[in-house]
Amino acid sequence: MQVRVLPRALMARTAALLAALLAAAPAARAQDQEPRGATPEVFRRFAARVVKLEVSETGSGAKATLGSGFYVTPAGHLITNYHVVAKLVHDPDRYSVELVDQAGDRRPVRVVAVDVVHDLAVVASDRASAAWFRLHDVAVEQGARLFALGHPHDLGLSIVEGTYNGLLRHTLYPRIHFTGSLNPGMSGGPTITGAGDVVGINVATAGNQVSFLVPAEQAAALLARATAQTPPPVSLAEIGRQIRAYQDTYVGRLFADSVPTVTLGPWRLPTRPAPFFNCWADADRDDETPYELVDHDCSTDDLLFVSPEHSTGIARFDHRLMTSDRLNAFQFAELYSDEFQRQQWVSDAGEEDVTPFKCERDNVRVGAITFKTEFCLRGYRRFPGLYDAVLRAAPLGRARAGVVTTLALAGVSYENAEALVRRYLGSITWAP
Amino acid sequence: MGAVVFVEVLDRRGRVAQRHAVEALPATVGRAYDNTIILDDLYASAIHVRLEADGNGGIVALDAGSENGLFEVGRPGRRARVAVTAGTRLRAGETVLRIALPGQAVPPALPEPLAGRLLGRVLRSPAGAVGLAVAAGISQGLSSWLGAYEQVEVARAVSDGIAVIALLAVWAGGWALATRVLTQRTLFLAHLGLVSLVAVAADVVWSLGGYVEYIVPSLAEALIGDVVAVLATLAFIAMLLAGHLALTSSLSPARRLAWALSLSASLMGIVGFVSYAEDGDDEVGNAAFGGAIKPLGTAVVASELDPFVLRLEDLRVAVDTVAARPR
Repeated sequence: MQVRVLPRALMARTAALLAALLAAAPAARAQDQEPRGATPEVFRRFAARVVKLEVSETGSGAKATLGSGFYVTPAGHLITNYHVVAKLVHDPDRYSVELVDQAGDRRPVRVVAVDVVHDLAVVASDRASAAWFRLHDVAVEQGARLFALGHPHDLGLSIVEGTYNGLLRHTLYPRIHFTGSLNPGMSGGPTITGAGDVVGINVATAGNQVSFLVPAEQAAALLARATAQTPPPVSLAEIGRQIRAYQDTYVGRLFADSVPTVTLGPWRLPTRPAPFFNCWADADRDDETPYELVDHDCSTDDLLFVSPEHSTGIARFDHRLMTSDRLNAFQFAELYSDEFQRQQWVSDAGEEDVTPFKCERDNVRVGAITFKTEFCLRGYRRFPGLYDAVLRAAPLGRARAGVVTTLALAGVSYENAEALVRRYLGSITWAP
Repeated sequence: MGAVVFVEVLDRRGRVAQRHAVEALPATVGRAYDNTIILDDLYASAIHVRLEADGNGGIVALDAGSENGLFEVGRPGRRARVAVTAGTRLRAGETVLRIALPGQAVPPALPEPLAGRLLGRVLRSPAGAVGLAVAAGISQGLSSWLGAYEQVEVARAVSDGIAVIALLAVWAGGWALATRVLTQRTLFLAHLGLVSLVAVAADVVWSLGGYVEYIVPSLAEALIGDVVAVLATLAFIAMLLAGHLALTSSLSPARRLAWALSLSASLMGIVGFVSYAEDGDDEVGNAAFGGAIKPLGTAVVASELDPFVLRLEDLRVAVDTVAARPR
């Protein structure tokens, strides 16, 4: 199971991707069996359209990733998740992917198109498919019974019953909430109605039957692009372009219009600038500590998977208010300093993926507030034009109150980062 | 005493190893045991040099038929006869002899290191030295107290101050031991006063640096700030070591400084290398922020937003350059 380290505010929504990276062994869960007979029939009718996808290292033949996929055209195109075939896209010489169908036959496939933002990919084998799912709009009600197909933990093609619980309202990347036990290896498999309409593609789970699907309409759109006259290339440059285009839409307007504010101490600071942000607050008042802390965090919750070592696409900001009536001005300044210097996690990435951070520090006057400000930037080695940016600011001017505010953006263009720095600082004011 | 002339046998470094007072001329110098001055040199003959009055009130040195000859140091060639005065150096075999005359001028005594100046007086007075040590303790205690925000405890600050004084005393003790070995004095309080003074001065300079950084961060910016910090550290350590060496040894000021600078530079080189080696791992990872906040409120030099944002462009160019380099 792929596990990513996520910041505190995201723990409630930690979702692990469903590609099995190693063939590990926990057993499948027992299902509540209702004596309806629908499930065996669904399996009988549609199982042949679902395959296992194995990504292996060409040299050693060792299995690197396991996932699922399903036929969507008579010509042999299949839909799966981008994260199942990501290794191949990053390192085409080192990896290859094969499908294994219900009969056990193996065939090589190639990646035809990818959609990094929605975590989808179209792959194709050169053999026509006997049966396939036609992707079209499906009307589903809250509570409808759905069936997820895939290869959990390489235990064989399995069917999992579950419930449709609607499109998540406030996310950056559209997701359907599916109540059912999805497990690693089922990534890329379809979740269908009893009639065989594809509602979504299995993508992630948070455990406890909380699972997520990519809406089928995204797959239909990708398939249309893949089978068009000039399909988009499958390359790192294309992935970079997709990420840049997407962040333009969601980051582009952040903080541009008037933003709701929260009052912390003598300041007003921005909060929830868009529906796809989730905000949390926390206060730390303990009699022994001679100062009080109030935290206010807002973040977009979904990470965008770029490669097994690199996740990006998140925006978050937090404010930490400090007040004290027991510390003197020097002691408070020391506390304020240490908080200003606290390190900031931005995204999971390694030395191969990003450059080290470079920072610029100064006192900056914005309107009526003078901030101690530091801005740090690092570039994506494989995606020129994409950066992680962090702004840290602390308003000066109160002897025993301070708020350290941090804005962290992962996978953004420089122009957007710069625009956000201006708008973000501009949105902080003195409370009347 | 009534010596007519002094003959000094010099060692390899030009210092006087033996001094012979010659009461009457003529006198002889050589290896044989019936000479006025007996040499212990394998290359000197049994009778090597004869010293005589020259009849005009001066003294002359004559080669007494030696195997290897008589030389005047600084002039080439064997000499049969050398007119000597105060300071003349002769060589017989491998031994260098220096002539001194009674009544010749000698340079005045060197002042003791740091003796005359205010600094020296303070360091050498017990009250001054102890006062400086206490000042160092107070300085540390104050820093501790002003920097503690988790728990405000005066007791902890006091114990930090005492700990610092103890540490300084141990350091001074080490130097006092060295001084005792090399001279006949200990000078413990002077060493203590010296290291306390440097500790307080370093504290003050460092704090000032922090305030400068707070008020004008762009002045104290990255590379320039680091260079100054390194030079300042080097200077402080060198001054400290030079001071200790002055009290301990009789090296000339120039040599003291040279030793102090080289020791200081080596020490910093080692520390720098170790910390560089450790740091290597943490290149990519979290964003780390520097910059302290001081209780001066808004008494700072601030940029407007636009110029600041313009400078961020340079950051981007720097990042792009690194990103474009192949790994």
